Amino acid sequence: MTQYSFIGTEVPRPDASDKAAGKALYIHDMVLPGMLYGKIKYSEYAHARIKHIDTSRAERLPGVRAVITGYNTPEIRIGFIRDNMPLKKDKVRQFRDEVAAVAAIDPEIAEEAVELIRVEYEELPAVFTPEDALKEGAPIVHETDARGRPKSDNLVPVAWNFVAGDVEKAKQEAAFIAEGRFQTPLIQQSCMGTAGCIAEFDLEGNLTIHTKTQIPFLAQNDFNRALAAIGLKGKNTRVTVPTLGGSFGTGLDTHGYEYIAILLAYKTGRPVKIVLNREEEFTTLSPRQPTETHIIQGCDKEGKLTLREVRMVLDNGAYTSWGATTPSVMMLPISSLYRVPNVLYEAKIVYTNNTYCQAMRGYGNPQAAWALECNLDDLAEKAGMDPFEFRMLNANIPDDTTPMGLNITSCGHEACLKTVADRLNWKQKRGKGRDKARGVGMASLFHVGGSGRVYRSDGTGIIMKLDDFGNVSVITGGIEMGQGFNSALALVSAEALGVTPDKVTVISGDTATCPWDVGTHASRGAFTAGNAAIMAAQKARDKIFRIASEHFMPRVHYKLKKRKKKDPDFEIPDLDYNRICDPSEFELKENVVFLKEEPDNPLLRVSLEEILREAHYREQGSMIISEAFYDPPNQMIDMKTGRGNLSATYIFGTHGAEVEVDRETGKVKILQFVAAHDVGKVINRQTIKGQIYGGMMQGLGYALCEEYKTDKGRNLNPNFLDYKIFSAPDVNFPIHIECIETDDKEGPFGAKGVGEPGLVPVAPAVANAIYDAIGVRIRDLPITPEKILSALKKKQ
Amino acid sequence: MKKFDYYQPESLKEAYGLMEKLNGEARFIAGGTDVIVRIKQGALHPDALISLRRISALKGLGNEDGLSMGSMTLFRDIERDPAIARDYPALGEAASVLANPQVRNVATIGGNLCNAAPSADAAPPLMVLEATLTIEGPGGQREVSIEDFFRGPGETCLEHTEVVTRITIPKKRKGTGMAFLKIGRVAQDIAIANAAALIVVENGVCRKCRLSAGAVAPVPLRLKRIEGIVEGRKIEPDLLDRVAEMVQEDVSPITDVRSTAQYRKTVSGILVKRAIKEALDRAG
Ligand SMILES: Cc1cc2nc3c(=O)[nH]c(=O)nc-3n(C[C@H](O)[C@H](O)[C@H](O)COP(=O)(O)OP(=O)(O)OC[C@H]3O[C@@H](n4cnc5c(N)ncnc54)[C@H](O)[C@@H]3O)c2cc1C
Repeated sequence: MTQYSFIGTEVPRPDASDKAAGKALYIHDMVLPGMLYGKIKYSEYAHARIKHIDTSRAERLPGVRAVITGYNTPEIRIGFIRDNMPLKKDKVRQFRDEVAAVAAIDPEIAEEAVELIRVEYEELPAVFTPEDALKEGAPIVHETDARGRPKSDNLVPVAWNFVAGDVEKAKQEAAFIAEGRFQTPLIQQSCMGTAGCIAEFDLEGNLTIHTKTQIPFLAQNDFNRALAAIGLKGKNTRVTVPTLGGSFGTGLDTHGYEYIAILLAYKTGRPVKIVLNREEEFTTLSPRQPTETHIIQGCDKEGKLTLREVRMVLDNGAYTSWGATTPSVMMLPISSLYRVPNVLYEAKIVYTNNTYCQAMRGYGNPQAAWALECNLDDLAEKAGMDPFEFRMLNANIPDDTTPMGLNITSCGHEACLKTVADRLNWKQKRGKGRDKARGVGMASLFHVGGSGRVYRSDGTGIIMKLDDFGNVSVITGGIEMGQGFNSALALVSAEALGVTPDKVTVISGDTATCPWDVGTHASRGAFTAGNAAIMAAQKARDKIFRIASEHFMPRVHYKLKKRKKKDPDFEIPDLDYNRICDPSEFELKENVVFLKEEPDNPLLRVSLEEILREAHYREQGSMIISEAFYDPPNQMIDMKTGRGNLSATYIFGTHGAEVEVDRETGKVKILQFVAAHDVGKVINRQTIKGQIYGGMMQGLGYALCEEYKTDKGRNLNPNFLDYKIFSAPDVNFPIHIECIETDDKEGPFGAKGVGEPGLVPVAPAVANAIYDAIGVRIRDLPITPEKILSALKKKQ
Repeated sequence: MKKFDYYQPESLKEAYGLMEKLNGEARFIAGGTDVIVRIKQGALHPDALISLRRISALKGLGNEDGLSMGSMTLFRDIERDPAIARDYPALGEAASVLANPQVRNVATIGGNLCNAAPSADAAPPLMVLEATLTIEGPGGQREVSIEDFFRGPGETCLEHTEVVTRITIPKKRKGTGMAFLKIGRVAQDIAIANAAALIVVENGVCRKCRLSAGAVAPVPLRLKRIEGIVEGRKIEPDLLDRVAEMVQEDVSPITDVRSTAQYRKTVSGILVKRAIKEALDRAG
């Protein structure tokens, strides 16, 4: 095992104190001179024709500087398949459709102005479930596609299919089969910091937008297209990202409100800020897609999985975000979690007049895991096997290629399963707590761990810039959104370069100064930026050692002479000061340059900053700046075959829950929770635990209480009083986190991505424990006390 | 949010005098944890708020001959008061599960009652403790039993200009046990249902029973019919199951985002039953 100085330590994140003390600057805190406040008028119907918009009263309100609609602004097409527009013309398709917007000198006037806008509608019949939307004669959400071609159904033209082996034959040959229908609800990402932006133009027509995004460089591209649409072709957008209070997928697209801020800023010539309040965050951002899954799994007599058939329908809502690609990530666990040779997967995405959806942490995986892992317990029961033994028998193994063409390299799946079983005392507890309504359950996850090639490039750039004092700026295109990215990147950079982490400052969130990155998604931040940092550090070290080869011995000589001056008794040792060193003779560790051969010689040590100053101050000096671009060795999924090695490595994990169910109230009490994750290698133990705790909390909310309730497309609980997430007082049980280190060969110092996995298998682990406790299976999330009571009643 | 004036009277007289002058377009504000939320939601549009904070007559917590609390007593103080924990644990428990410490540091017991939410956590314990509210306004002072105080969701027997000044609870009798229970979707939630029970036991027989259920009717309920069934009997499992069923008959909950009416009915019965059991354990 390699000995590391900083990798694997447990240290507070560099951004922790500022955030805790309220010093970090969020979009909400930012005020620019002359700034106006934008506010959006949303639709009053789920589906209606716009007959007339009367903005005259709003325009006359003192303090209002601009009122815009789709009729007096250029058309900008947005969204994954460009089926959306920032301001709607002719028709609204969901309650959150933007029909007009204002900019005013303060937020109150903006709000008042929006209320003065009158819109006349002609209501249209609407559809609110994929089932209804697919019926013959259903109202059509989009009568034409983005290119204006007529459309006669509500299918989103993004279809996902995967077939391996022969599922029908396998069904006939299977000894045991389990079949089930599983549902997941709409849920909101619930970021502590709501979304918002400030857009401003310079006098040349270039745009700067400070905005909440996970994809600054793709956003730059989107906004440059918008500039072209408003007649500013060739002008540029600079995207800067303030401190983010969580994102969880909300920042994977550019949003209507951003384009509206741009249009208002352009029209007024002033910076325009739009920040969503909590209610708008709920009602006008894209929540996680609801799914309906029909699953069949089968195994042979011994319990070896032989088949898996998954047919899934996703409610897209009225427009299409990048969330339409979540089935590509669902395909991973569906084809490759546990070894199963015959697989059929089909996902339909359906337009409805509901709010349009986006991915949330896990990118579809939580929805897939819910059906897979619950149904797997059902199958184990049919086969008469213990669910843990059943999982062990079918667990993923290292160095295996799955039917989807995923190359599994490092794999700690079995270790995760065993760890959870040990920690829960599985053998003593499973199946033995019915009288007390106590039970244990487990579920696993399979996810990308080495980024995921969703775009043509999966790359990220790093620039390392060293100053006169040995400080290192690590400039990245990745985004810290609360996940601890900066901390991981600082530790990896420090370790790779040979400095202490306090010398490292991570700089990010500005397309004008930071190197390109495809986006902080797919749990890829630390993995890709870490690898790029290692490459950049190597280049910086080469430069440092080249300078050292000229200046190291003279510096040593100079320092010894100085010492002699101070202390006449000091004997200058007999060293060859003219010895010309070769760059390869040096090592740099913890801010000190020394000779590899004599690492312990106290005389032959020069601080890094002295060497750096030599670089700057010598004749024909140079700078120590290095850059690197890392693009992982992975593949895009071939849309025709559904095959491709999406990630450079994969991550595994198993969660286990022990629960007690109150048979009279239906309340589920978690007694303990175990999360074992194959993380490759721990970078910062504190951050990784934070990621797993946080994921588990979100997962428990998904499992037990979170639900974005709607009535005919309108949200009913757009605040935290009515929409409940798990919070600190709900965690009155022990949580055991176990990081299994498999030292991945592609990962930076062996690490794999762990951003999303923490929440993926929580819900099925809890559901399986509930089944063990009381013998009822809830198939639609969240598992509310009420559902438990009615299931218990039915069972009697 | 609409702009409003803000007054800070130093005396009760000044407070209701202001209220009279402002002709019904003003509101009293205590901790503000209901009233400000409703203003922000656009559900209330007062021209002025009249703060009760500076009025010393509304403060103070005394436990001599029974318990007497100024209406401005904070839930945080109720939660931490050792005498309440000892003698009136149902009230202490309700205070300790209301909202969260931040809210409890500003929310008052008077505000909780005057807001008159059917789910108000302070209501069931005060109902079973048979609290009396002292009310003062331009027309003078009067006393109202808490049972007669609530009129509907958000409605009380208060005149617009009247202020609740004190809440008093009779001295605890020997052999009394009491409990408060609440069920929400998560730990910090407005009650799906809450309930309190107070039991006096002598020689194994229930001499007095007071039951209350919240969030299951337009007002917090006293369950008198059921109290009558329990009194004079030994409290045994059969009786408790019957109580749970009877509660379901006596409540008339609604369906909202927190829960369905059916679930509220069911758990209301369970909570009352369990509260009696817990009260009984403590009565010893
Ligand atoms: C996040 C959050 C969580 C909450 N959770 C709970 C909970 O779990 N359980 C619960 O019961 N409540 C809960 N509440 C509601 C609220 O906190 C309580 O009802 C609280 O006790 C109200 O007291 P206040 O002093 O803040 O009242 P205020 O908001 O100041 O006043 C409420 C109403 O009473 C009137 N009023 C106040 N005092 C008097 C008086 N002395 N005389 C006449 N009228 C008066 C006001 O005019 C106003 O109409 C919650 C609120 C929030 C914001």
